[in-house]
Amino acid sequence: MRPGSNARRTGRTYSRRQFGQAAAGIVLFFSMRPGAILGQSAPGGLPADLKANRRLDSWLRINAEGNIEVFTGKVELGQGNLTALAQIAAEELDVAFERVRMRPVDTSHSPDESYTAGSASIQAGGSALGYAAANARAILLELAAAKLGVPIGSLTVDDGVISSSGAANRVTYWQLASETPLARNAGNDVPLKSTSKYRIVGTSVPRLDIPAKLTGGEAYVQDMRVPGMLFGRVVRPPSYGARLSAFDDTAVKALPGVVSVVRDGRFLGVVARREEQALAARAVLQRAATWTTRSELPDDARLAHFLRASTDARVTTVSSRSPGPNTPQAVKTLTGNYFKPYVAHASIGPSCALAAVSDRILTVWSHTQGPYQLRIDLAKATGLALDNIRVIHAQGSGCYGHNGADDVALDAALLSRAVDGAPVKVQWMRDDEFGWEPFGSAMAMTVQAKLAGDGSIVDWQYDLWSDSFNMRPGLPGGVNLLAAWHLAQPFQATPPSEIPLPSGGADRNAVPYYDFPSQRITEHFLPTLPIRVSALRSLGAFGNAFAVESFMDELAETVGADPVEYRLRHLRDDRAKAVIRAVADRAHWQPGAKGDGTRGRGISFLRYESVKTYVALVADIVVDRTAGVIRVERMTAAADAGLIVTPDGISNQIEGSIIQGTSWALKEAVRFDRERITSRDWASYPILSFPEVPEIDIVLLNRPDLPSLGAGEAALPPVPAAIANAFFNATGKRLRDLPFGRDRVKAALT
Amino acid sequence: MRSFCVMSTVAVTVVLSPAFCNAGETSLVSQGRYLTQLAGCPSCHTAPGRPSFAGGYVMKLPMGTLYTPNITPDRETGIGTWSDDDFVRAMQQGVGRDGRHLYPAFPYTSYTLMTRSDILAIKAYLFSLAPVHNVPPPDSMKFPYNMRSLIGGWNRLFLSDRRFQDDSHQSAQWNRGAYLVRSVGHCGECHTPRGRLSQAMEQSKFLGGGIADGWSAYNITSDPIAGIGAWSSDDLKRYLLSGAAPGKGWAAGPMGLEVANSTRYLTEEDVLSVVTYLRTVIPVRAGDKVSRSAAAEIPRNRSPSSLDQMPGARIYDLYCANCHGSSAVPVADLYPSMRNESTVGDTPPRNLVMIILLGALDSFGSGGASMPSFARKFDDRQIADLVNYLEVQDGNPKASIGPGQVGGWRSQAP
Amino acid sequence: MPETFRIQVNGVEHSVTADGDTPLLYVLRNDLGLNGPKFGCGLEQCGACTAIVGAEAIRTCVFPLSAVGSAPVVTLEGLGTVEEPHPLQKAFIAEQAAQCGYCINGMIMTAKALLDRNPRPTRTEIRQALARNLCRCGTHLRIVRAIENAAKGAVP
Repeated sequence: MRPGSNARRTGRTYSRRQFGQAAAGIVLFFSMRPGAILGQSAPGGLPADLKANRRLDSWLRINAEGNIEVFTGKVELGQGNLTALAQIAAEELDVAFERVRMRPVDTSHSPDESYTAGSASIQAGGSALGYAAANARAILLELAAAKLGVPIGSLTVDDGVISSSGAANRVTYWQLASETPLARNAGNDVPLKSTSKYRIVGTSVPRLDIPAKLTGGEAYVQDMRVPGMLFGRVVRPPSYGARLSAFDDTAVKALPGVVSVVRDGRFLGVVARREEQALAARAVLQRAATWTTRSELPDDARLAHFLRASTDARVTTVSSRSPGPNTPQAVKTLTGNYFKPYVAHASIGPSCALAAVSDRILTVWSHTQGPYQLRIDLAKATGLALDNIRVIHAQGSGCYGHNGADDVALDAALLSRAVDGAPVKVQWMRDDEFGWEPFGSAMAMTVQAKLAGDGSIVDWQYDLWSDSFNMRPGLPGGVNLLAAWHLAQPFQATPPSEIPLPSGGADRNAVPYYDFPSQRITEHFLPTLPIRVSALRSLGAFGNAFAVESFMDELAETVGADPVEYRLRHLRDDRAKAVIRAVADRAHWQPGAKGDGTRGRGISFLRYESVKTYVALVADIVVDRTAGVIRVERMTAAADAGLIVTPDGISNQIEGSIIQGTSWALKEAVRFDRERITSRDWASYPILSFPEVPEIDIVLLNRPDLPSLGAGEAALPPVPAAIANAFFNATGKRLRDLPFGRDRVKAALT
Repeated sequence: MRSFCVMSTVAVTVVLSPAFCNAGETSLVSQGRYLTQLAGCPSCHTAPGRPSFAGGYVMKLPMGTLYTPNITPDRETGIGTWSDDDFVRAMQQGVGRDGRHLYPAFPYTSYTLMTRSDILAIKAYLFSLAPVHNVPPPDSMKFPYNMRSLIGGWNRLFLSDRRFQDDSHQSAQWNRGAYLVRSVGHCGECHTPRGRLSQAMEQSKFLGGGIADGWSAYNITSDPIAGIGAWSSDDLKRYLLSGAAPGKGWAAGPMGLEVANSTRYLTEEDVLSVVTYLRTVIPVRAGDKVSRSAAAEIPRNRSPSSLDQMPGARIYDLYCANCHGSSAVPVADLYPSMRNESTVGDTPPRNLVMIILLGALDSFGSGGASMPSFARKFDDRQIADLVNYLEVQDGNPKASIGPGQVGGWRSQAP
Repeated sequence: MPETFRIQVNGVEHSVTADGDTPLLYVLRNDLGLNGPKFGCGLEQCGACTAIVGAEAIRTCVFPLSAVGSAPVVTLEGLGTVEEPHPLQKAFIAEQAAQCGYCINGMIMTAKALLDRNPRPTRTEIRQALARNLCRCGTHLRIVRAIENAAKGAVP
């Protein structure tokens, strides 16, 4: 093993999930392998993000007023990332949390830490910042020791005040700040603080961003206003491949307030002095354009078939295991087909960006997940040099993955350029967001299992058909920004690619966590599907867990086993068994209990990404047979995320995941006809509403002796199978296609 | 019987989709549930936000205000003490259990055609429901309409107390459709013009168009221009089952309620029967040259940019285009396009004004689109501007209304 | 045609020159510089733009300036500040009832209108009152708890 990767394993690392789960009431904690040594340095190397941005003053600045400015390459997505990072900085520097000022990512000086996605990158970001802060503290102590004429070992720090035991003299960080001590590279020989000495990490800290958001403070890019700012709106083609066949912008130009009408190829936009003028002008601009559309999309009603029938699939065996000599003879074979549709990020606030040019620098304020990656694609699309583009992060609405945030940044840049670089704020309309965001990919799954005479599973064959979950900007081989594809000189998107396991993309959690004597998991990766896709929360795990956990239930039913017992029978991992038992216990699971035609309950289980948090769910549902409506009354969850420092942080993540997962399962599917996306608003893409939200009961299994795994999005994928299994329990019918809307429910009951 | 039930009516045998059957329900009650839906009982006997069938729904009529009665089986305030004969008499003769005449707002002039067995099925269903104790407010009818005895005389003139008779020259399907349209569905009550003085249906113009709660109930005779003669059978079927026949018309207002509460429950066989019958209804002509849904084809000589200068254009673009689209294509498939839409093409555009004023909230349950109400948001002038823009753009280019007309219709809105 | 309107927002009279059909949302955000009401859909579907006009929670994205008249307008800013938050804002902070927070303006303003007419709502009534306010992050249960706590006066 290379020393670098070794370091990441044995050194104390900031687990990404730990940060991810600290959503409301931020709580941070660290996974600490048993036996981690006090004062251990980072053997062999620095965290990758720090190695790539070694200068300490690119991470931290200490000013004479007594504040610590922290620069991070990670962005706030509404889960409290920046609060979490502030805790780390304060902890390692030994200053009060209140002294830390988190600065948003600015490509002119912030460290480049790539995307803030999933929660893997937060792990990296926290770890890099922690080492940087520890380095800074060591340097400050060195300076202080020289100033005070005492040995370093005698120094202690209390909220930035450095003193020596027994000596009256003291010096503060703020006094040393003028000596610019941080204009140095990070070293790898600095010890980190022992977790036993934590004062801030591990405590509940209210999120820094919440008060402004609840009182009308300037919190989002949507709220930005700069002198001379104009308002832009774009007009997209009616469909992906529509051609502009006629265009007459006379009427648009005649409207009051219109400053500029932009046409470049089939990219259309308008800039106006007032926002409502831009809105009205957008509508007139839509009438000014005549489009030629063609049939380019698959039949929505037969999408699963379309995926399976695709002729250019790249087929790979994800996992295979051959039967051993003692494997019992199979006596029965069962097959199940499952389907997950395209799902939208559906952010509540449509994407927005502000762009302006000054001194030949194009500056874009964006709620992108990857400011540096966005800059790469902006440079390609505009023809500007990287150095002539500056991307500054400003918060947006929750994104849950790669939504329209990056696209609108290019829109704003193009519109600003059309008005000589004046600042232009562009916000997408609701239909822009639904019609053009990259969706979470559709998936078709087929499972075939062979059963032995005793009912146990002896062979598991799994086939998965799906698309990429990773079409973010900044990738090589193309430009992944919408407007770039519509310009008169168009760019191409990057070629779709799969993400390797164990994280995986479409195949995330395709390999069941159960112990089968023989199995083969096959992925049919479909790189040429016509609908735009990219990363969305939990990637392929949602569809795979639905198929695996539904089929486990079908098999249990076939052999007359209780679904809880049947799962336990096929698991080796005691922690997996423990969460299943815990949820069954908490929900008062009665083995063999049948529903009464309208009420039922179902169970499902997942170990997220096969190496992370264990979650088991029990769904209690009521079926309105007349209306064809499933109501999830209650979700009981059990989770094992290793060491738990505060239950509230994990509970909050699980709660959010269950609600979003219930929404996906019951309601969500992107609709389209043969020409265009027809989900364009909240009526054509309904999500779960307040009266429909289940009550949620969570039991957490604390493992104080085991590393924290974090809960992140682990509770999302097991949701649909829990509901489908409850539906079977209630009605004796299977739901194998998502979502479980009224037509499907009624059809199942026929 | 949980997943499948069969019910029998006099006319034909109807296989109900299981969605209409509740576990443990008898076939008589199931049959009654279906007929109750088709008869539209819940629409009028349920006040907004109140328990179903408990009455209190307000009917504003030119003659005064009525509150519909409680028809749950509550013995004190509902119909819990009614005998079969009492119930049949009310449905066929418009006479209550106490012997008092019921106002003809209750469509017994249509229900009278129903068979006794269908009526008793409805009663069986109503009596299977939980009783609700509720006394609706007293009616406030103007003189002389507050004298119920006068209704007896009106009945002698306008009520023919006769059951539906099959026409032996027609198919069973046609007869079933005629039965549903004329009796249970009581379509004529709104869609047939009424005599100015008698307020009785003018049978010679059956289904030739009327007014309901301030909305136009369109001519639905087989006339290709004034009626629905140019609609395909599929259009009619879609309209009845979903409330929307894109390119022809979308249900809103009272018809939106009818679709939501009644017609969408029609079985496949029954909906075809209704369509078969409607196609043969004697055409009632009006002076129109172009059908409502084809008004967009009337030639117009305004340039697109001059249209954009109209005062209503900006209102449309800021408040309507987000759903209905700024060109011929609506934003999502749940919204009507302004082109080829009966509501925009009708002259005068009464229903266009009504839908703008009142909106339509989730008529078809969750997942359905809704139209906001603009009554509080725009004054009569602004609505006239908007309507005139729409008419010039996609409706009848010669139709033009003023604020006064909007105000008149506004005052008729329920 | 732009006209001058006098409207009362958060207790202060403002003079605004704009077309009467301008949606109130843009007047509040751009002419008065308020951030509380947010653009979410422009369709009266999500509730992010809610403000209280008169006594009613109004979707300002489809409410024209001309219809405001003399009715007082209250936005999120009119409830309280970071230093002196309104009991509802306090309850939301205590419950940390926000993830991305974009919808929260609508949640608080709708809750305000609810508590003004029904100071002791049941949990079901709270859920019903918010039925047409959309949250995407899954913060629903925390939001309901925050409103319950505010109604009970159970916020320190």
